[in-house]
Amino acid sequence: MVGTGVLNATVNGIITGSVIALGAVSLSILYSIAEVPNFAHGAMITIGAYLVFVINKPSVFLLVSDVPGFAFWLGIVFALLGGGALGAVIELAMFRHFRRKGGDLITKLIATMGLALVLRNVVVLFAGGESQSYETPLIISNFYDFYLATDGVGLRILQRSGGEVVRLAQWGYSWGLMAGIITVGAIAAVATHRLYVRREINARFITGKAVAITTFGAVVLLGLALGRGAFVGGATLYATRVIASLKHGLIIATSIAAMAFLSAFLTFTKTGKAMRASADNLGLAEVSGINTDRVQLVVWILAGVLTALAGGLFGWFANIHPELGFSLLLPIFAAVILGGISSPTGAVIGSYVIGLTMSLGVYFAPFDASPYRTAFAFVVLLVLLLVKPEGLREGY
Amino acid sequence: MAATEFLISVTGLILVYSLFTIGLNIKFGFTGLIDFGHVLYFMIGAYVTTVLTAPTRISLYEGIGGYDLPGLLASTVPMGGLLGWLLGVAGGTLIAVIIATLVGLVTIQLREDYLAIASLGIAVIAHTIVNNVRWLFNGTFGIRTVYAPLQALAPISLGSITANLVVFGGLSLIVAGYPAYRAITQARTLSTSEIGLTTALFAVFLVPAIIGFTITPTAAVVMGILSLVGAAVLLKQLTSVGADPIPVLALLAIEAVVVIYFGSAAIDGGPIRVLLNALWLYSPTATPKGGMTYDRLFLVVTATFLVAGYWLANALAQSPYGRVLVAVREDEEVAKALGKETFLFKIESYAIGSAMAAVAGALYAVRFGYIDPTLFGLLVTFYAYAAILMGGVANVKGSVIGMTVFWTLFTGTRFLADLFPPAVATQLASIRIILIGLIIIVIVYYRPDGLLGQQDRDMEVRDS
Repeated sequence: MVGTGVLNATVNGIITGSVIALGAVSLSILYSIAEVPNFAHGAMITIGAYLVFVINKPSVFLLVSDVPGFAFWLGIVFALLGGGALGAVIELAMFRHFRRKGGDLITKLIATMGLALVLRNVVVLFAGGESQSYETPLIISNFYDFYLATDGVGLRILQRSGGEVVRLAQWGYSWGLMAGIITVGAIAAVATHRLYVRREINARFITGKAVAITTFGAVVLLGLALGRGAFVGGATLYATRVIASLKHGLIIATSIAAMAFLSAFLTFTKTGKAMRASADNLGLAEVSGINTDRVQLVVWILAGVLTALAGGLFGWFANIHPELGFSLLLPIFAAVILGGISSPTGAVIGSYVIGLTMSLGVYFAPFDASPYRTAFAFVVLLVLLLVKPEGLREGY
Repeated sequence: MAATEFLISVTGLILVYSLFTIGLNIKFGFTGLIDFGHVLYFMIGAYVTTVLTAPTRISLYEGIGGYDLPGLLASTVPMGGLLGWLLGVAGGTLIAVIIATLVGLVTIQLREDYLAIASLGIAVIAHTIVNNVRWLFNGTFGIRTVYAPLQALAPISLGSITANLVVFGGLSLIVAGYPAYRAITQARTLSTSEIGLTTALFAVFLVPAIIGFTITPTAAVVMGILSLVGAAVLLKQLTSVGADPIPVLALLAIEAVVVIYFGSAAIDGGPIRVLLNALWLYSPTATPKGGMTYDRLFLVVTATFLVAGYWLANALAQSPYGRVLVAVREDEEVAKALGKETFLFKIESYAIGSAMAAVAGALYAVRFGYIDPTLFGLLVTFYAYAAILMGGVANVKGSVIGMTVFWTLFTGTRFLADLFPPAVATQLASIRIILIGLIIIVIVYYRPDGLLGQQDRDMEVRDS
């Protein structure tokens, strides 16, 4: 029996970080383009999580019974549409007017707090305050046991089935092979980086570093896949277990895909360029003929879609209740401020830092620290605000 | 009698929350510091005072304390019980001030939005700690024994029914007389058409409420919607006529007191009940010879604290010190350029505001007779924000008026719950909070300085 360790906490941190990142990126674009410090962001995530129920499990809502639900992914699609519509409504009914009136930061701040009260309690009004969960196909978690032995590295995949733990697969690599794979990966990374930078293939959108890291990862994975050998036979030096499932993989992948989509949107489309221009200088953008009202509307729709996605994904591996979004609000703000409020890239980096801090903080704390997950995120934020109030990165 | 008891209970809560709101107004209104975690200091005041004054052995309590200050002093000093409790309040306030200063040192120089999130975060974490750590203040179980000052005195009886009636009845008239006098003076400034519109506004709420109560929930909902529409139309009319909000509110209050408080008594119990309602500090059932109950006595204690806080805040606002605070809010750079140490001013203002919240917390604990973390949810801060926006930013009087109006509406809507099955209680509670949110959004959009605006502090120029 292998216990879970720091590696498992790291994986959990990456999953949490992926969900936070969706919220943080959208908060960051609201901050920089719409200039709204959105305290209703958590409530928007809650709404997103509950919108999935409309399709997936309508009986969650009061006065609705015996209505069959549909597939979870259909629910997510509906939530994305609903979230976008919510974003549009918030912009058209509230912040467009606040902008016209030239409301200052404090005014908008308090208005978003009022909005948060409204949105969260709309959820309670229609769905009550109890914890709920989605109707999803059962995905059984796998145990991934990593072994460091005298003669190499081994991996064993197990699954709990009917009260017993069944071994699905196992294989190993000798130390020499591991060293070889990593060396080849590093050489390939350096080579592609050189080639890429010399050619200057749109260096603005995808940086050389990103290309190098991707190449390294791809080569190493390929090597690991091809070089599978018999399970290690030597004495075990260290062994650790990671509990994960396809669900977790999907959450991380979806989150990364959504952020890549946003990044591409901001970089390549005309609207995206207009958005970046508005973030830089709203007045100047307006004089150059950019329809800033339309830009703001798009920003809010994007924010609505991304928060809804965050809600749906978070609700997939946690209980769904009206406080769900609020529990994410502090980590999201921490991530955004950590990354420098106007930088979506910074917000993503900040999110993973916060996710890992929360997960590893609970793991390393000498007492049962699970109620204080948010507190760890917050301590990082406070320290950063004291040391470097402008955040880690600035600008697009 | 129920009406009097209810009035005393609601008034007690309004007074406590008003003190809490004045504290927030000093931070937010005068100095421009956005504290979304104001309730933290309310909680500290309540817990520390309770622990300092509670008896040494409390059943089912595993936290620190109690230290039984009233018990220690009662044996040595006359009025030692009260003195001990006051020392407890001072202790709670001191701890709140120390914590506020520490929090201020870390967060106060941050931009508004960072300060808001930082204060919110600190309050959330403190609440989580109090809720989870059993050895601190007993965690979720809270403290079931709260020392009530002067309780040994109550019920107070002066020996005969006549003496009780004259003294406490007279006291009621004097206490209620001043606000009544002020309300009437204000209401007299209204023109006939304004009086008509205001009375119509009052009727629009009252009539459907009466009809709705006597018929069915559905009728109540329909009537409620109708009255909201009617109220909106009348409010629009009132604004277009150019009516001042304070006289209108005063008239509404007078009408509410006359019709609801005295009118219902006249129908239920005739002139005697009306008289008893007027002499609200006198309770015929307190002792066999009548007298004053503890609830009434503690209301007087609470009122004393509020008056002190009100006076202090007003004195602060009118002093040169208060003008620096406003300068910091308007433009910190200018205040700095004029040689003001703005950092210190902000910290001090933050500490003073927090101290008021702590005192309010101590009173709140006595009023409920128990405390646990659920009483100090984050929402309480937003009651105060709603009250400040309904009253006025940087307006001490507005804090009290705003909280009175807010809490009357908030409590009034709670009665609607009686019409519906208990299963939907959560839904009704959520509707009320949605309304708070909407009120905040609408006011902050139309009147960012609050409905009554800032207090007019211009000095009159005298011709000589």
